[in-house]
Amino acid sequence: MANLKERNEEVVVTANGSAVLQTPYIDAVTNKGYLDVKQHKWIMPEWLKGWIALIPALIFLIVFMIYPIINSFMISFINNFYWVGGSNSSLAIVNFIASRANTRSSIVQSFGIQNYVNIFKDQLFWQALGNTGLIVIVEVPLTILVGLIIAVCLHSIKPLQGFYQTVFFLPYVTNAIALGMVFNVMFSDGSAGLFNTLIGWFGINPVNWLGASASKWSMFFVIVVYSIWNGIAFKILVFMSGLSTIDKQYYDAARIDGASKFTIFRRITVPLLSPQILYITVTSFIGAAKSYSQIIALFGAGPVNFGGTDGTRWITIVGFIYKYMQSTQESALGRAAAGSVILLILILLLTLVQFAVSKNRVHY
Amino acid sequence: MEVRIEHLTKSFIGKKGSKTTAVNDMSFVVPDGKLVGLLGPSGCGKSTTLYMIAGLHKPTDGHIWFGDEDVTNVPPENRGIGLVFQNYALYPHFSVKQNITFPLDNVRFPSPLQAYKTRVNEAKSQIKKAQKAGDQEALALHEKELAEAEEALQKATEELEQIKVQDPERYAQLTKKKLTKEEKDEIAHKMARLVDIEPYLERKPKELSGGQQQRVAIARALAKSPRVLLLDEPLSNLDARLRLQTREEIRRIQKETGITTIFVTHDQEEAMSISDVIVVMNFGVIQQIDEPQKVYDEPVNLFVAKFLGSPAINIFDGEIKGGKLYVAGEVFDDDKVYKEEYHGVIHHEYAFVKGTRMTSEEYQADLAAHPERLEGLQPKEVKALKNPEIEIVQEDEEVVKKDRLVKIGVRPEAFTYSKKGSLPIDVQFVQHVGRDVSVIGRVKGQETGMKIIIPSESWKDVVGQNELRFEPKRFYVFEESGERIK
Ligand SMILES: Nc1ncnc2c1ncn2[C@@H]1O[C@H](COP(=O)(O)OP(=O)(O)OP(=O)(O)O)[C@@H](O)[C@H]1O
Ligand SMILES: [Mg+2]
Repeated sequence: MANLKERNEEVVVTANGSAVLQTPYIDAVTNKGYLDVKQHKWIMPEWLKGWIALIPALIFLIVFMIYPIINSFMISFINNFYWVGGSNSSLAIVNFIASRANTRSSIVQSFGIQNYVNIFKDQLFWQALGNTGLIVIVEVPLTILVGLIIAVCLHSIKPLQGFYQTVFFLPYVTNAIALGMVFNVMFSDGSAGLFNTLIGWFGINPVNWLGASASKWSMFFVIVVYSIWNGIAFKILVFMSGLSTIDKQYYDAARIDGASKFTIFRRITVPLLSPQILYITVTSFIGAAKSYSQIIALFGAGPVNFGGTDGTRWITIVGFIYKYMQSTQESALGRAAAGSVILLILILLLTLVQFAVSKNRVHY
Repeated sequence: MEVRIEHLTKSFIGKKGSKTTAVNDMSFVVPDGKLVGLLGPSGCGKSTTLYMIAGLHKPTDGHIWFGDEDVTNVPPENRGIGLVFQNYALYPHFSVKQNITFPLDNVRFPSPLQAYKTRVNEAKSQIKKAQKAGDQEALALHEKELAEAEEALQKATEELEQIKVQDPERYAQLTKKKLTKEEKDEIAHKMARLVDIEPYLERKPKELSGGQQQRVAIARALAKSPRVLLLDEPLSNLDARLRLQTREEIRRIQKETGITTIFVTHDQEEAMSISDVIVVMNFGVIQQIDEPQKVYDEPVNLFVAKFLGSPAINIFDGEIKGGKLYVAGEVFDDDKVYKEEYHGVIHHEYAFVKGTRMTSEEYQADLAAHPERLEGLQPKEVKALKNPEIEIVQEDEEVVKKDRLVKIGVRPEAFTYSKKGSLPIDVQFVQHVGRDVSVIGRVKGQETGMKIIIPSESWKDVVGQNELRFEPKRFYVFEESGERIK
């Protein structure tokens, strides 16, 4: 209790010479705790209060984020990793030590980069990487553009605004798998499918959208449409809240300055919305890089199917990781861990690049 | 460019259907090249008027003329106006230079053949109309016109082709669609020099002081060489010294460019010092239009008298009795106007919208202080009064009176000290401030405070006295309704 300062009422002499009894001034943010003599209690410093309030969140963070990340990082650098029966630990490093003591097994775990060597030799990984890259490159710009346009339109209409908002927020509250089933019906094969009927009116022959023998790009089309629809509500919400903070006078000024609607959108709205656009870009990139559920939702999860004849046509990195985690193949777990570490690093790099690029283009 | 406002009215319909008439049947003229000050208290409809002239608000009624052109339904971008907003509205993500050139980026020059093509199209549509109406005579006329128009177009096209071959430079100039970067830069620099912000062209607005931002806003408004410049309380965010300085600057720029300008302000001193003509408004209605000195010297009603002048005009009670004007029981003035009967309507305005003109608390307090205002009102009207959504409840009372109470106004500096003066004052205290002596007191037997400013020399006459008499050099007499009598 040495650094606790005692505070009490003190006598202060004012400028005109009279003495005044003053209660001590307490900083809004006290860096040190002190003993309040009057109330007989210790006043906690602000930073401690902050930490205490954060404890529940921190516990969850450690259990569900930090620990798995460290663990998969460890696993990815252990050759021939397997869980030793009876090691009684879910920590990879403890498991590793136990495996060295386990002389009965013929598989020897050791530190090394064998998992990474394996994964880079794996044809399926490159396919997953390519698929994920395509999804990211096509889906992110499209979803932002569409979201932005819908948000601007929604923002500018007065009547029925509430109704349209509800329509666009429906996918947000709908289960992704349920939505996938709906899409499955909409894009079902033959001329009975909703979408095929629709394009039939324009004289286009029915397309096999999602079937096992469907072309790669018809599947891709559905995946992109589905992903945009599935994720757009949140983006619209963010853009709309951003739009409502833009001073209407800028638009009045721009009208007087003779700017067309498109010029206003491009040169006034977009720059003033740039903090929201950056936020959505970063989160969309991360989300798209982690694509998985959309594909499962469209092609079915039991057994896990990523489309095509062999069920891996549109496998993504997360799909790849998942597939190997389930696999009983030798050292599959190590490969899955290596995949997840690569994904983490890719996302990190992408995000850093985005922040660097946006530095001069975002106007807070 | 002369700007003419005719019977301009703007009503806003609220969410619950309540109607606010922000501007009511306004008419005035801004002569070419002059600066007109639009003066009135907060919420009287100044910005609304300006926005209608700018084209941002659509008038409920009335017309706006720019010279001979009726621009009432012309969109803002085609009106040729520059507007400086109340809080500048500079684009925060543009540099000063980009802010100034933004209006120029949007300039599109029509093709030199445009006029000819329009003539052809016009003739074609006239022909269709005539065909529909079956008017043979008109049809023949318009067909002839079409032939002529097409010929003219043909000739112009050929001419242009010729220029293209002979004088490519001139051809490029003629067919130019946008301003080039160099031209825009040149204008930006010229404007920046005019308002003295050239060193700051590359900065962002938030890196500038309020006064500098204000000048950028003026530069942006002037960049497109507008026909009319509109300024909405441009000085209200500046400190007192900067305000004075910028005010003179605006006047200088306006004189230099000779642009027709409308300047909105709620500061009477500002309006007086900058304007060629002042338009005084209150509650969306024009009170007086005159030159500044005239508005000050000859206010048409009590509102204008009170609104102009600092320190404010002294208002005290008087009574017309038997054709003479009495103050404090003595004859104050004798004139034939007091012998005339007063035929008039007294407007009583009681209710105010919550939050705009008077808060409901203020309004309730006001009502509590003057319960007599409820007298003579129908129960329905009283109920309406208590509903803060109601804007104004007006009760018009017709009166014909000979003997009546009136208000008298005398400006503080319009008094002379005289032992035989017609106005007896109970003195509260006397102050010697700078060149002047101010006497603070009340008219004998009355409540309202008076401030009288007389020259220093009178100090020895007035100091230490409890009662003094003054002679007003000039005074105004108003009906209680505010109308000027003399
Ligand atoms: N969009 C609107 N909807 C409803 N009422 C409005 C609207 N704009 C203005 N008003 C009302 O019209 C009246 C005049 O407003 P205006 O902005 O023209 O005042 P002003 O004279 O410019 O005041 P200030 O000096 O405070 O800027 C006010 O009573 C205001 O409440
Ligand atoms: Mg205003």
